[in-house]
Amino acid sequence: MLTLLDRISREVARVTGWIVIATATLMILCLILQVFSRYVLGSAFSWTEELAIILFAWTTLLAATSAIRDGAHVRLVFIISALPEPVRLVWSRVVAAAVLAFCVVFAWSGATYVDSTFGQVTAAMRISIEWLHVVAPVAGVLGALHALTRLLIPLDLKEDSPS
Amino acid sequence: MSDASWTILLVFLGGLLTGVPIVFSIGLAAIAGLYVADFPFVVLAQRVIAGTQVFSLLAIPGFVLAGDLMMHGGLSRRLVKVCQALVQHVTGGLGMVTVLSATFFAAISGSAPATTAAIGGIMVPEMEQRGWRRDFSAALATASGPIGQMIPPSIPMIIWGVVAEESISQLFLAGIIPGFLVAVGLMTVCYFTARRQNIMTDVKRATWPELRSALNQGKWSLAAPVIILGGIYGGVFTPTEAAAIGVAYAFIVGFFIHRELKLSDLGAIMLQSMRTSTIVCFIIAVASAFGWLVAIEQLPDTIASGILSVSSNPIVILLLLNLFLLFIGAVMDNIAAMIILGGILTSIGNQIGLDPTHLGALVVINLAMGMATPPFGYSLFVGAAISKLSIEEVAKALWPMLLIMMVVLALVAYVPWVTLALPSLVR
Repeated sequence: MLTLLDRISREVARVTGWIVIATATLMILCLILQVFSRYVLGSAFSWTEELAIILFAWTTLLAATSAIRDGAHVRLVFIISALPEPVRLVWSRVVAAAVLAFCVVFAWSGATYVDSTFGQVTAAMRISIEWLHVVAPVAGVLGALHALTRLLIPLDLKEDSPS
Repeated sequence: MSDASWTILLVFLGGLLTGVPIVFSIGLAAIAGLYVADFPFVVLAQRVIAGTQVFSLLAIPGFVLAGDLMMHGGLSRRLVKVCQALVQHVTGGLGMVTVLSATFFAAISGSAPATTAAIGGIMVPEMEQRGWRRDFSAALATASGPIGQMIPPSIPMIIWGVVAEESISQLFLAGIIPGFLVAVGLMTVCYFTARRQNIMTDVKRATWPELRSALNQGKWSLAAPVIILGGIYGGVFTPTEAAAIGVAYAFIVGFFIHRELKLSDLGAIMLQSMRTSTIVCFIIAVASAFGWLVAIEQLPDTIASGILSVSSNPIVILLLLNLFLLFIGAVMDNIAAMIILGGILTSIGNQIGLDPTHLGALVVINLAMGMATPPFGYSLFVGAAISKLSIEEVAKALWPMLLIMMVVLALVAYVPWVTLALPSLVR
């Protein structure tokens, strides 16, 4: 059961990684295209900035979910690292529970937000605003999955995690 | 203070001290605050999404990726070779190469740990081979890291620009003179250390053909800052677009000219860069929910007045501000600190009449030094990791360099010209 959960979490993180590579590449290409269109084509496209910024939201929030699995989010450990190892592992579960709580509230809050803004469109591209807002419930659910994995299979939080 | 303010502070500090990741300490504090102040929870997702919809922030993944590509594409190694040909014959020359290369690299990269990693990874083994003590080399690479955040482009300057709503191009300019002062100071340390320990005092000056060859190899690396900074200040593109152009440039040079980038490595490099950037940007996004709430609760102004009630003398306040920021920079992640304290710091700055650009530079440089100071500094972690020494060993060799930085910091705080001379030229 635990290994199954861990395997799901690992596979989800791997697929998320590919999506992050795709959204980040597209984001950078939009920005390059913006400069190119302004100087080479003579007039800037109206949609590049908006698309880039939507892709930025997806890149950031999605990459943040798999960072939960790897324990890569920055934390202060100078008190934790003084604890003996068994206590530290128990505490690691408590921390994972706190992260899980955030993710669940965030997913729910995001779903409410998507619901309350349903039918609106973006300013430049006139595409439905859900393309942006759906990122919140999606990231919330994925984050919750990884946090749950870390609640059941804790990481040792001894080391600082430099970015 | 209101109940909501107390709840926010207690949950945030409680999480922070017990090892909850900073971003989730901020997020849980926001949730608790929303609950106590009886706001609907939908505000959380709304503010976090709004926090990502800031065009200037896109410069962060851009500059991180550009720096990583330049490291993997052989641009930083060629930069080191040029610096070596320029100063190898001076007493303390190889140490100076480390500082000089970091200063050049700083004009491409906007991050202190990335600068320490890119230059230290090459220079620490090289210096040890030529008779320098390893702890000194590691400390030098650590101390050169903060130059990466002072010389533009600079990720903390971008963040401060977003938090305090200041012009990012102006902030970039404010960091240049302090960055050069730190570089000159660190090179002086190299000179005296080499003279005292009699290290490499007989290296010959590079011959003209040697220098020409190094310059020829390194010309693409040297052109990178010209394109990025020239583009921003020539009004060709915004800092965000400059970051993307930097990515394109690093890719083209690394892939087609140096031929050191492999297509098969690109995915891993991209993923690593986005991990680095997301750790920062996700904090900014979540902190915008936190920031919205503390602004409504007027927490920054309350804390600022509390601090200002201690003294009304601007010189004393400035000193307290510096000591406080140094302490914060030493014990916690400096980007999170900037985002959380942004409101309080701008409020204090306004009340004692500091120029906003001066304040921004002061905050960023203080916290940049925190990158190199124990116990919590990313550059220090990287310096220790690449030299395989403990953090304590590197920290012991750091003190003359920290002293230099303190002097520069005092100049930044009390001589406004140091930060404001360049921004006032283009204002």
